Amino acid sequence: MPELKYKDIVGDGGSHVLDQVEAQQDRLSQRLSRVGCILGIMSGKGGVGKSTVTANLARILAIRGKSVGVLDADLNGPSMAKLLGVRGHKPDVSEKGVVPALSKDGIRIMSMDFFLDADEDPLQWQGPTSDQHVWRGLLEANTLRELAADTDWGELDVLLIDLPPGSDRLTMVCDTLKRMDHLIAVGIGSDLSQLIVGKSVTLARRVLEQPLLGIVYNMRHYFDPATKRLMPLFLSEDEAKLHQLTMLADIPFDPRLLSCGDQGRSFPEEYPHSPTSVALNAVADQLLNKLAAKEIS
Amino acid sequence: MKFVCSECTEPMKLDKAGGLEEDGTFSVRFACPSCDWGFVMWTNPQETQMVRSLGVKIGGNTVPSAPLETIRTHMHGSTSATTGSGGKCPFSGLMDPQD
Ligand SMILES: [Zn+2]
Repeated sequence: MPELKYKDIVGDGGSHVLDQVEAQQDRLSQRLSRVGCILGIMSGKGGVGKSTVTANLARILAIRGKSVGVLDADLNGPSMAKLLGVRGHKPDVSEKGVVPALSKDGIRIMSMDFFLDADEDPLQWQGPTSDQHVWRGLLEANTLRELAADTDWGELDVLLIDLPPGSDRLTMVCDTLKRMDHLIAVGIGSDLSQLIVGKSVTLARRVLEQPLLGIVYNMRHYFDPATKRLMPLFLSEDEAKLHQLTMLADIPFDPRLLSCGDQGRSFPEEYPHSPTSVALNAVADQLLNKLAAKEIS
Repeated sequence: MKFVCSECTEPMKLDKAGGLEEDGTFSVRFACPSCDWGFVMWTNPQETQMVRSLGVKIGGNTVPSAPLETIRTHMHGSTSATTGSGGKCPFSGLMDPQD
């Protein structure tokens, strides 16, 4: 065998794979350079209302006059198009890139939902039908990179990333996008939520070294619009204290939030004084304060 | 993955990419630039799919990839959703379109 080491061998025979990957990364970072802040909303566990928090936080930031984008990173269970009332959008390609959907309140949205023909269609890839686990993750990471890099976001104050559930997905998204300025964790405070969300929090901190803005409690209370009272729903031990996180807000469940989401209507606009909107505004306040402080420093 | 001619300790150069079969197997010929010794590498469908999942082109990429190329070329039923050219061949997009 020759005394050559891998690093001594120049090039890869003509495919220039490294150059191709670098070109992909350049395209991504160039696109995201016009985004002021990239904020990931994570939960680790499904069913805690993370996507509802993402959609309504985006709406509130838009109401506050910020230019907002939403990237639905949940490729297999996209929900942002429905929650923001833009299902059925067919992305055109312009000179600047792929045109995102635009919600009534001016939010720019990109989601796999736009590429699935029918409601019941799952995301399926062409290729060998067996052992898809071998390559599916790679293809999905590449798809996510394209959705971020090829969408004409324009100038954005904030790009919200609705992360898929599962701590492994958090790693994939952060690795792929190469940039995540802040993360918010969403939990419902139940023992199970604490257990699973805790894993994502640990991963974000220790492995990815991502800055966590804090945790948003969702649905620990239930707001009854008829009696205007807050009733306990998933109340339990203090999750924020447990994970040493700043508690950003305690968002009570409001049944009207669900019907607004189902119909793609804006809850914060229709019910601006509900405790749920007030709590969502508190999250926006803290994020905007953080961004303003960064601008000053 | 890199290949070196064991006689000349020269990196092998990609000579010809092609031979993509319908079942997803794929062949690439490499040749030594010094002694012209060559070999053909075959990939099985899973290996072929791994390469195309990376979004890179075998033999290099002379034209920038089209927007959302992965979705256009690799997703089932994607051709109606975008203005691109999603090929019927499930392994389209593996080689440089210039080739
Ligand atoms: Zn040789």
